[in-house]
Amino acid sequence: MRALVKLWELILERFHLKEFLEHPVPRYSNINPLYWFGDVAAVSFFLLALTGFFLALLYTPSVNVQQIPASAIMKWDQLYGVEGGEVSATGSYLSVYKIVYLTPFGFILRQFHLWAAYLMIMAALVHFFAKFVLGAYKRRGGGALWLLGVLLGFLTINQAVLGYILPLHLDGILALMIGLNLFRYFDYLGIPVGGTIIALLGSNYPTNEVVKMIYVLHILIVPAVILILLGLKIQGILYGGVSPPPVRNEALRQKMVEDKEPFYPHRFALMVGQVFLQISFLLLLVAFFPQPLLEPWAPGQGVPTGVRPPWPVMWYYTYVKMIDPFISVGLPFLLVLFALVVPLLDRRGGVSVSERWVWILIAILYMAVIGYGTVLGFIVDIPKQITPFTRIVVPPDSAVPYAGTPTPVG
Amino acid sequence: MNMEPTVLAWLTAGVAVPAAVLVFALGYVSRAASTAVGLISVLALLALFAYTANIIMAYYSAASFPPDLAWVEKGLLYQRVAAGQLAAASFIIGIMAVQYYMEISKREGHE
Repeated sequence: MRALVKLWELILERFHLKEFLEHPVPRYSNINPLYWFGDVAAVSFFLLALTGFFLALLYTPSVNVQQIPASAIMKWDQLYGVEGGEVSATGSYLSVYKIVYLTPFGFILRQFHLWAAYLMIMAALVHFFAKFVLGAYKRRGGGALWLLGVLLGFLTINQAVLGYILPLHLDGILALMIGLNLFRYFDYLGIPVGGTIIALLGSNYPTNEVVKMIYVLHILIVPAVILILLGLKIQGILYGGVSPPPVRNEALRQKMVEDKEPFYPHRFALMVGQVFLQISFLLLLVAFFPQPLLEPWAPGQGVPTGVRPPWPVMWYYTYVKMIDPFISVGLPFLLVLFALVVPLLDRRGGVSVSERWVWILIAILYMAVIGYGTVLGFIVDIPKQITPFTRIVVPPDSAVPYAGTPTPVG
Repeated sequence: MNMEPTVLAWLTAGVAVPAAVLVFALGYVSRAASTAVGLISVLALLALFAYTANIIMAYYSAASFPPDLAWVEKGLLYQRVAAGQLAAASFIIGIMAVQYYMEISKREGHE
């Protein structure tokens, strides 16, 4: 035991962990829920990396067509009508099918990954709103952290969509088709972004190469960028401190800022609690609200009516459907740009609610735009059959400078 | 003869729900008692999980494609029960950690 204690002390000393473990954390940030959701999103990211590692070992990206007997499709996956004795599916779908239905603990793994992704997005949105309300960007160094946060949020939603595409079910393929079409709109800005991306992918249809590229983006490139930005953010918080408490009284604010606890064991115990409660919450969702795998898609097959994108991008889908796509297609970029310039516009006054109620109203309006579109997307039915190509009007070919002729599969 | 998933689920709930309530309530009276109950219940839940995991591993050794859907559904039920057992154990550990924070935070005179 004594040897273990000595070893522990040696590790603390040699890796300079003592300074980290003993760094003071203001008590108000430990007990105010507005300060919790960044941690929830970060922990979700690490849980996603852990489950994603095992899923990546079991998953195979491929659009090669394989046959599944219709009798092997689970009832809850038959949402849009499975026909015939055999159903065509891609190699990707079949590999996810095997993970979910034929691998021990594969079902838990995939469900946990899915729910953790949803929780990460939800926590990131709440964290964004909380920091907007707190005016977190007003403190020294806060603007840079805000910028990192906005980029991280954007990447998180992109990462969710990339992951949603991978099983190549009907809903995933809808997301992919819309995504590929979106790139073509960039050309109207005068920059050949769309053409370049489509040329890099080699096709504007889902081919083996496109799916492989999405797979690499999902498991390697985007998570690596997220990890770097997250590391910078944690570093900034560690040395720059958390956002000041939202109180107007100067003396009280000073008292709250000075009331500190060491990270270890105080905040550490709280973080252990948070991690386990979060895991528990996710596992309960897996046990009580498992999500279907959804229906397979085969190359050449259209996407039937009723197929919808996942909820994190549902608001976008709704607005693109409601408003002329040439106006609505840039909405996410507009929202990101607005979020980026907020610290430049909101510079005066303190951080208490009474001093910045106008900005809190703007924050509520910002979230309402996303919330309204999301809810509406689920309750309003699509009146006619719209394919992904007609849903978002395809720009004329002259606007898309292809590097090579795309080869559609099927 | 393996236990049915529904029986295992009820057994898990029978251990987890009273244990979680007890750990939470005892936390206000005696943290030592709360920790003891917490650790024993976590061990009991992990033992139940080990039993379920054994069933799952044996069950899936007969996996084949295309599968019989009744077989898949039963496998999913076992996995959902296993997830519930781990959720309950994690929940109790989480409560104990938060209670520990509340105690040390109080002890150092922040009230």
